[in-house]
Amino acid sequence: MTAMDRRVYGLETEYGLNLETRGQGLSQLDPGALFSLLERVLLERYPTLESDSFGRRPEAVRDPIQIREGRFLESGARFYYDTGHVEWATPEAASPEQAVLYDLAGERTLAELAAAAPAPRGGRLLLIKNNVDYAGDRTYGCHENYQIERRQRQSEDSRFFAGLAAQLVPFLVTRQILCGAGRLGSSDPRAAAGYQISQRADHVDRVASGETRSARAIVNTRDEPLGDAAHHRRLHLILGDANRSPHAAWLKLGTTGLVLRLVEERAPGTVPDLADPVAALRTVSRDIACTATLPLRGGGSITAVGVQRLYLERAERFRTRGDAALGRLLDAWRRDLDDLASDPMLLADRADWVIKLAHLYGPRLARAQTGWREVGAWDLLFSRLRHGAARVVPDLAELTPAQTARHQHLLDRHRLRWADYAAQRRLHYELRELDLRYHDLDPEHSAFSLLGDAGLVRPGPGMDPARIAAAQRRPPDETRACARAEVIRWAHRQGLGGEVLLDWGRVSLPPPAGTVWLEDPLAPTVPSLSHALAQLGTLADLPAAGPLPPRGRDDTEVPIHILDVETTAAPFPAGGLGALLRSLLGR
Amino acid sequence: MSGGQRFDLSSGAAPAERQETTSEELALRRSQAELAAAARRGEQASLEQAAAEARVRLERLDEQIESLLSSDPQEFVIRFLQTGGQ
Repeated sequence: MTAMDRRVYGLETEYGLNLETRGQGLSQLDPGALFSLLERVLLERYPTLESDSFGRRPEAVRDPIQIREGRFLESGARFYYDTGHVEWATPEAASPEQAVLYDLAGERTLAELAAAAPAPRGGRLLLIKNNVDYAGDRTYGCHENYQIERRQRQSEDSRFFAGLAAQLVPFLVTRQILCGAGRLGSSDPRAAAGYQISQRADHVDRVASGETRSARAIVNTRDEPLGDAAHHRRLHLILGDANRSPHAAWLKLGTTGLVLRLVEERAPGTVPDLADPVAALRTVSRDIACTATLPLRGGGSITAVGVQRLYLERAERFRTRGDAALGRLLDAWRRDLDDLASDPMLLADRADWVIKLAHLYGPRLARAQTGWREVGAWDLLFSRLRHGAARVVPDLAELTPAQTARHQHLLDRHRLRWADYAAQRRLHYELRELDLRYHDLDPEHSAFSLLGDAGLVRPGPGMDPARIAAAQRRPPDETRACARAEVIRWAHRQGLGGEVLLDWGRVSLPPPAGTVWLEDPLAPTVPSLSHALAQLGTLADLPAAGPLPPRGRDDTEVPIHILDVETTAAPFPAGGLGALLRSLLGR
Repeated sequence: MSGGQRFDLSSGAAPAERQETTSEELALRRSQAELAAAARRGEQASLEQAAAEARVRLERLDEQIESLLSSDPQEFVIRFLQTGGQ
């Protein structure tokens, strides 16, 4: 098998959800009911078919609160509900640019659904494309999918994947300097930070693991097919951030695809052997000057920019005169690394973490006459004082004399003054709200949209509004998303709904057609599928046309539970939000 | 902006010459970025006029960003409480 110069790419993003009401601020919503509201608008506006994983995830099927399979759209994208979050997966894309285009189309569709959904209390549904809530210190993902090759023999394939993981790790640890989304504070109580490059770095605590909800790893080892299981598998990366900047998302997917190609061609050469990849991940995330050195096993050290340059120089071998897209990618990778080495602030028009530094926080910190080092020191103090489920930083007046005495050494060490406590506490929350506003999908309320409208953020290669709008309904021409779209359009012409189910790699049709497999993700047409649809079209006894309600639900009003967030005690019972919802719903 | 405030560009691990950027430097870079954006929009003006207009646009942008903040940022943040995902 030769290395793959063509592969499919994809993104799956979990969104943060809330209701914002004028005068009443935010309310925590029953996220499953919110999903149903959005789904209802989706059904009114788009042809869709139900998604079904055909029992592939039996543990999920047993818990309807945790997973709803959702629906596929004619663009080939999937809209579903997972672990308390609305989730959107792009269709299989044939290039990094295409994956980003469909990710933007997903953002736009979700924003439209949220704007049209009848929100309770006359409020606004917030969909936040990020990876951390600052209240509960919880994280949610933006996963990347790459089709990679599979070796034929099990033992050979295991060795191949282990080698691939080892060669990928230094690249993945350091690529955040190009594509981190930026976050405030720290989720690691041992390592304070005013600001970090990556939203996910503190939530990754091992090098390799198959888990996604805990024990998150730099390389996820879950073995799933992507297309023909004998020849390909899906590399599922969970450590990346959800980007608002299309340029950053493009570099994230594009550079990772190039490094995978290097590994498949056995061409990465010797990669830096980081002494402690997880520690390095956190060091890089906290180093907004991009100059920290990462210790190597066996001695010596290297910077994040240095690691990236090693991979870039090797990936230059793929540059060919006829491949303009690849040339643009390599040029952008090089230019961004040169700029980072010169002055990270030069990326203030393309890297989310720098955009925020330059345009959201810089002016505010200057007005407050403070800097990140001081903000980080205060964050360390606040992390020790927070209490309750929402980890509220207490007012100065709430602190006991014993508390102030206990933390005096910290103030002395960092030359802080209690007189600045109230101002820093206010700044602490203002910065976090600004951070969340950056990630708001609603263009009327998003700081990212304001910056984009002002021309201060690069739109990404080929990401013009007309192409994004088209991608809301039209699948990528080069992948099996086309076949899925063909089924959706056929089913709607036939007036079929729940009788046809879709998965990424198969279609369940009414008898006598049965299951049709879509084995090659890079095959836009599948003759057996077209044949089956033509055959079914000639049958007179197909189910009659009718409305297409979500399976198992009627057309009554969707009940929305407003969950009062008690900020000084655990808002959710020990069983998590799912248990609370089950109790609310009487299940 | 207050003059000369240090805008830390590191958490402490970097060489001294890269540790901080002043607020003036940051403002200058933002002005340069806004000037570049104006050039991309095809706007023509003298350098002084363009710089003055860029400053006004950035001040207006800062006001727009400020207007996104709620009346109670603490409440906003602590109520943005999510379930842990994948």
